[in-house]
Amino acid sequence: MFKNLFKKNKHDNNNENDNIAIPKKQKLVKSLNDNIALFKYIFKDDETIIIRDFQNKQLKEANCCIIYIDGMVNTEIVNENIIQPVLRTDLSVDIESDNLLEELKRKVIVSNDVTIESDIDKITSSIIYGDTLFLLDGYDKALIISSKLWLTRAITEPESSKVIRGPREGFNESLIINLTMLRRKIKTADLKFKFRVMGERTLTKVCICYIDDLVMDGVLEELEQRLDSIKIDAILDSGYIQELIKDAPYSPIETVGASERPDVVAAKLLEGRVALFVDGSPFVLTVPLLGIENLQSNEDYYTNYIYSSFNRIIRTITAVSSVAIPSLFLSLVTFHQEMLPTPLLVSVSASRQGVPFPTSLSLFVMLFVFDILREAATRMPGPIGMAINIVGTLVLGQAAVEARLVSAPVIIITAITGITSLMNVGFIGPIIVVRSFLLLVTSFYGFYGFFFGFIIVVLHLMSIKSFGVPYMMSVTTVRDHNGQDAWIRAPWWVMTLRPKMIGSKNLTRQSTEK
Amino acid sequence: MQKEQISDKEAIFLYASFLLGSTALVGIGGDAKNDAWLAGIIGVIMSIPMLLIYSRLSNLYPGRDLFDILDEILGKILGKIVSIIYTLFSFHLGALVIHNFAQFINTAAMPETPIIISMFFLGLVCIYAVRLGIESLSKTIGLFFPLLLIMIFIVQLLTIPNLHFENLKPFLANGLKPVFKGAFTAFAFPFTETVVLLGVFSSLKTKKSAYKISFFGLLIGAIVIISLSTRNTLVLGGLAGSLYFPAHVAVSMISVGDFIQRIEVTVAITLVFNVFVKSSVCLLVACRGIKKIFNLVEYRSVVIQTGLLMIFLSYIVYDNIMLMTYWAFKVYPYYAFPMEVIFPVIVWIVAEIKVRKANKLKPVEV
Repeated sequence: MFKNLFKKNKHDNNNENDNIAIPKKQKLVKSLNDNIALFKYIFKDDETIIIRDFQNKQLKEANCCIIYIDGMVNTEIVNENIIQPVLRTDLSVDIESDNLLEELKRKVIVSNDVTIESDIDKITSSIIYGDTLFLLDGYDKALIISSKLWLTRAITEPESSKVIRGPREGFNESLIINLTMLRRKIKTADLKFKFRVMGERTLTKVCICYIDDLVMDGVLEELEQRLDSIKIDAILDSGYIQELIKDAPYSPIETVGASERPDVVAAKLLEGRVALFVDGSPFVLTVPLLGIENLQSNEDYYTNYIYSSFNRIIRTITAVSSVAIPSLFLSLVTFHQEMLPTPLLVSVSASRQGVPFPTSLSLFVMLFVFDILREAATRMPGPIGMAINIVGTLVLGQAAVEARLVSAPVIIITAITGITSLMNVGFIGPIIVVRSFLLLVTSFYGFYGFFFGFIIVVLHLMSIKSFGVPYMMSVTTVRDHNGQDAWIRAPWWVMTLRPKMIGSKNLTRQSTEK
Repeated sequence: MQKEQISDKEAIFLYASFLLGSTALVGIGGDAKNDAWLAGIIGVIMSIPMLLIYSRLSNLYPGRDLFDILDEILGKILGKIVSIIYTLFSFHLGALVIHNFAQFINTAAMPETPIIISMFFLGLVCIYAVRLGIESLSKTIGLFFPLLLIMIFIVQLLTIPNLHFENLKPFLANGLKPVFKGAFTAFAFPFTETVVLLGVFSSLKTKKSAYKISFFGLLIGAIVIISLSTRNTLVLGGLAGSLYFPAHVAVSMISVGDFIQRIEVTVAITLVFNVFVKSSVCLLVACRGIKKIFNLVEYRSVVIQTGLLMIFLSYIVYDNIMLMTYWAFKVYPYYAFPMEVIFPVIVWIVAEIKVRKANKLKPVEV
């Protein structure tokens, strides 16, 4: 039955296509009316298209027509720089009438970007991008006049990563504005921009950006190769590409970085990485990504090195503890009670009196509830947010303990875990996965299970590579210059060299000559 | 596929971790009783020539593993037979190590958990590690091993109040014979077990690395092992020789300010990690041997099967813990002697002769 349905649909489609008269050849002809009919056919059922024909006062044979899409063009440019000059100028004077189109382009139309074009596909796509098409009677060519109007969000500080010290600008959704923001940071001709169009229906503009004499060998080629293999119909955010070019497809770990800040992207380019701008997305991708970058913040480089090293150590500790604390707690209270000092053990077990559920189950449930609260607080409109606070603190915290559904230590552990995982918002996804995995093996096999699980996680991390660079590079080094910018941030006067592998093309960051 | 490489630092840690293996738990020189430290030192000195031979082999054939070397030196058929012996040796060793660990867990930590569960947990982690390859494994060691060393050091410091130096006396009470017996045990288990590591030394970065790694690896491993077993003697006295897991008991006596107490889980962590390293390396070498014997393209295709078989072998290999200690100290040194000493020496002599010949021939050819 369904088969028939589909068949019928197909048949109907065919019929419809047959009924419409297709202009025989899709190319411009000399007759203006035929050309207008052609574009009317191309943009049929599209009522945003505006076709305006007019004529020069003096030169009667100068029959013109402009075609554009309402809302996509700057009407001021269309009125004052295209229609007005062509209407008002005396075209019979000082103009060779046998090459009128060229002459109009050269002497009449006031615009910075005018091209003569005859390819119908290119014309159509420029109209869609917001250019104005100028047709002249008697010519099988047309002028494409740049008149794009892109309404963009103002440049604001990104909500996803705030800083106390440092530039407050963030990328917005316009590709060109983003590129200029980057260009304003790195004012060298070595900064290269390579454009490409991706997404078969969205035709999204994508820009690969790198510094020519710093970019790591092989990464650029690898990135282009991976982008070439993408055959998707739509790219609405850089997240699509991020997932499609990932190194470890089944892993929760990201191997492609994303940032919303021009200073961060500039710094990464200056270390030899490659950036990928996607039109319509304020998040710029950078490759290769090292695991340690997740624990770094741009502010580390702007404030005192002792303070920023301290902050980095805090981030590391919280990242580890947000995956490990629930499992460690579970193994201590259920498998290795002997390790707890007796008074502590007594108070822990006293608080578990009368609680019907095993500790592992209540930990799982409470962590799940915390994630529910987190997700709800993220999606909920601002004014309702207060309700979550009340529900979270009173109902799920205090009342649950008083009702003896969970023990108080479990609530405390959940709270610590939650806060520490929120400190590292960038990789909260992997944290949740790893934490659940560790909790599961711990509840089966105690501390040994936890340790085995931890070994598995580390093995997995060590096996990942991001664009040929080991994901965990410079994690185990402290001595050479790779270690200067890993767990701690060395003072700027010490960091004279770029990171070893990524910046290998030109290691010198600061000239040491006096 | 890219050739896997391990840096010298990681290889040193791998070496030391392999040495520590299950030895850190079982202790060394059981026969020597309170002279175990002397037995350990003699064992190290005895094993140095063998380690030099292993390093020389790896130096002569850089980028080749044990089985390639055997093939090269002993010829197709004989080489294959010896390869089979080494594969079985490595496979069996891995199973023994897994059994050691599981027996420990069963005795010391979780008496009610079936022993096969412990074996499965360790075995599955090993299978995962071996499937990922030597590179990820050695990087993981590079991250964990320094931390473990620090932890061992701290635990050693914490035991200072419990050390009783009179336990060292009487010195050589039963004469030198038990000391040499203990030294021979230590020589076979663990120091010359490193012959298995020849199977992964094909991934070293430079030709010279093997000597450096053997030296520093032996240094770290020997210092830790000897200091651990000396500590056991100092803390437990005559009891050390009669316990199955002396390290565990020695550490459980630590109590600092009534807060840091019963920290034997730290011993367990060191043990778990080193045991994991040792059994993974054994599994890896066994798989590489199988690959070489059957001319497979990738050793990864047999990892899961071999690993599961290894888990099962470890389950049936001993009936009880008494048998395990008896085997480890009484039988094992003689069982392992051909693989650890006789074959390597023969291979080394043949290799030297071949190399000399090739060197002599070279000028004529040129």
